[in-house]
Amino acid sequence: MARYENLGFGIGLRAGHFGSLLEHGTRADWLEAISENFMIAGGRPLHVLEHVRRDKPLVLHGVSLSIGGTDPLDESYLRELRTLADRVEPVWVSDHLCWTGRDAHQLHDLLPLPWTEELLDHLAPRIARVQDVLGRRLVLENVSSYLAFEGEMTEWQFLAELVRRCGCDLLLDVNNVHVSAHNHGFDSRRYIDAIPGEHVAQIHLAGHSDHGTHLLDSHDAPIAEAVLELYRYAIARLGPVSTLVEWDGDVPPLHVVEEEALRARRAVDGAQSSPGSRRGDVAAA
Amino acid sequence: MATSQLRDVQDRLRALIADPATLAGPLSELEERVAALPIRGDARLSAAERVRIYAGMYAVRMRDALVHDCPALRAALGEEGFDDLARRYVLSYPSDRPSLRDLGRHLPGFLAHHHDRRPSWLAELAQLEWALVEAFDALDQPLLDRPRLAALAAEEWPALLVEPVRSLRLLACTAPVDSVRERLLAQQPAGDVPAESVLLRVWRQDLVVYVRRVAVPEMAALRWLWHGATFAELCDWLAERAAPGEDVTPTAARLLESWIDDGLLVAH
Repeated sequence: MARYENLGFGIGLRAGHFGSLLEHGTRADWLEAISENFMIAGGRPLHVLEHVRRDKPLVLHGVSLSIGGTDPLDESYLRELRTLADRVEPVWVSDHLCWTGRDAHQLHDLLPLPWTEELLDHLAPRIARVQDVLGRRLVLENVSSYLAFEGEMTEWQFLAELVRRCGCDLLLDVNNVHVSAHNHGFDSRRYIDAIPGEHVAQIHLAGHSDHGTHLLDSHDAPIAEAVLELYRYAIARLGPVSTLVEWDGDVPPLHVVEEEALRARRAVDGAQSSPGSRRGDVAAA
Repeated sequence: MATSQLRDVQDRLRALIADPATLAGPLSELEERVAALPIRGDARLSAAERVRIYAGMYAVRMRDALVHDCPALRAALGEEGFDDLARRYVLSYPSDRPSLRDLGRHLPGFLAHHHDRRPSWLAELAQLEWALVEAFDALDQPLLDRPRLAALAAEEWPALLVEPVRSLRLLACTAPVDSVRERLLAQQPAGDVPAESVLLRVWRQDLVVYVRRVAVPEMAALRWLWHGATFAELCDWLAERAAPGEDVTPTAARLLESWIDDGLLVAH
């Protein structure tokens, strides 16, 4: 049995903060790097990545695995990801429960899937292959969505089945739950209630924008109060979970993002214990 | 939904999201195309309007990736001109790699062959900006340095391997696009760009990417050295191009020292 360590409150590693990170370090407890941004031969990004890795726990978070895609898995991508993971030894490796392209055309978006039994059958061998190449369990994130397919089960029912049948774990993006709940008209707390908590490795928080007809997962604003409220609810149910703030559009100075991570910490003060505490058991890959 | 049906749904959605008509065309036409997909709409947003959200994000994401890598080109073309270029380019060269970092790699060639009524130096400006992207994250390599050179015994010099770093890019331009780029990034107009032969080398040293003009002989030597050669071979190559009887060893040593000081040579 493996256990997910509570890393505390982290922030996403973004190019605009490289200078500040090299000069002053960070107040955040840990960092998350977008895998594809560092699957390169050399230069400043890798230098910064290795520098921050020396001081802080780091996880890798991919955006192009396309685990729900219908093209064959990109084996060279998997090998490059494994090489990067061997280089920086992340605490875990995550990506998204989505598809990102078709027929070698990458849309670079996190596109939704139909929640069906057939999809579980489609995902199981793909997840097994990824875990085999990476030599570790894969952590998959729920994406925000703006369209939904006619399906056989709800997203939360699907996630519970996914971890049971495919042997992966979850990155619960609370902002995505809030955005999708608004866009599709479901109860976000019901979603949280159904999440198999022992499989949640990490939580994401971020800002979104209101476009009138829908919410957009824009990552360009502070975390909305409603999302913090849902986060409190999730922590009350799940216990302490490593939590990370994402900020990708109109990225403010590093101290502003760090302050947002502290805001998340204050939101669950008392409920979320200190970094280093451990939480529920999960089956090892 | 069986995998074969999922594949068909993903095919159709990909085509819709990448098609500019999804955003620009009439909603009624889009609704006809979307009707074949098992997407749920509701009173707030129809299925077609939901597809449009993804199409809008796709267009912005592709444009922004190209703006990130080609800021001077964008300044030269203006917002509208660059958006139009990005739209046409992405239709011809949709992303086929996991990272958006690679999206713009065909842009200099695309501009050279589809320049319409635009000045030809724009393609060279794009070529320079793409060289900067490539140098930025090229392979890290151990560098040949002066102490290593000083430690060489006289008999070791001829066999010394002289090989440029992988970040090096050599550009032969017909316009001074290096200075044009600087003006554009300083938010000044490009002005009248003269026809002028400019040879540029782009490379990375100590994590910083540099652009420098080089003279014809140095450019020729770097091109010849692309895959590496021994110091003796370099001297022979220089001798073939020198006046009869001229000792080229000092020239070779001078070139070597300047390249070493610029972090341009790999240590073996």
